[in-house]
Amino acid sequence: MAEQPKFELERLLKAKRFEMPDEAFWDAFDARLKVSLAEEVQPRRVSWKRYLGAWLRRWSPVAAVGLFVFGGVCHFSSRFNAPRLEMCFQPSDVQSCRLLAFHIAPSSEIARSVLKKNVALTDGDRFTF
Amino acid sequence: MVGEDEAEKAAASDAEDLEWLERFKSGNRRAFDFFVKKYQRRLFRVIYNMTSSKEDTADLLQDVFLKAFRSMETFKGQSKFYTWLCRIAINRTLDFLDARKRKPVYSLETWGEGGNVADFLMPGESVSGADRAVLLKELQEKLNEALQKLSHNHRTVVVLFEIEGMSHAEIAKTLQCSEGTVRSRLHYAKEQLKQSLSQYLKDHGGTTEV
Repeated sequence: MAEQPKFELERLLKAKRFEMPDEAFWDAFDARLKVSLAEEVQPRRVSWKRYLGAWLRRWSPVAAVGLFVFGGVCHFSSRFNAPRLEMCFQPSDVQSCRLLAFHIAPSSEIARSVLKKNVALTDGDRFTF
Repeated sequence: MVGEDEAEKAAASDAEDLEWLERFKSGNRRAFDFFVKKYQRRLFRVIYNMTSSKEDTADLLQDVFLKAFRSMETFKGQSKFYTWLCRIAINRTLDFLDARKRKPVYSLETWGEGGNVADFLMPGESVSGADRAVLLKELQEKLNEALQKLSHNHRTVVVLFEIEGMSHAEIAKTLQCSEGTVRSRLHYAKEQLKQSLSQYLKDHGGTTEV
């Protein structure tokens, strides 16, 4: 019967240096790494969908806040009281008019009709609504 | 004289690394191939002996080289290039091991039947070819089991010192800890390994003296 060989811990550990895959493994590894490295070097082409998505993600919070503020302003401004519109037309120019004081008057149908219909004005006309 | 030769070789190797690094930094991205070819097998050994899985090692090694490729510009040359690369590999592997919940599946490389390892482990032994192969396989399994029982930090030190052949100082630089810590971890790890392998080594007339 053959004599059992003797082993030492350090020698056993050093023997693990011999555990190495074959050349086929390295060929496959190199090929895969080359592809990955090429992707790193190439500038990435971004599709319009990804670009749009990124743009929306970036700007949608700002747009949402803007819309909210705008809506709030419109809503509260419509509630202002004391609509008062006074227009005075100077004798020197019939068609000119000067807005002395203008407040939005959604409830005043007369004010709307005057502004929309561009009513012909005469010297010294003064309207107060 | 042998020590001087090795030191000269190491210095020449470091100079060569710096030269290729300059080429890379000056825009020659193909210079990176030099580092891949030079260090892929050494890094494979480090990662593989920490994970005991060839498949995981291949993936981790890819990650390591990609990270190195992205970070090459930041390498200032304050340490050896291999030390820097090895640190990336170890950090990546330790992250992987910490995250790995499942039990590791060993996919070990065989030592082979009549190759270098048999001559290395059994010089002049009169063990026949078939017995030798069985013995080597058994030995390999026992050793890997024992290694996998070590904590990640202890295993790392054993791999770098005993398998990779790095000095205490190099390991300390790589792991960014003191040499005392490295020595202490190494001592503890060897004690653990001896305990795990004691019965097997006794059966085979081996020694567990460190």
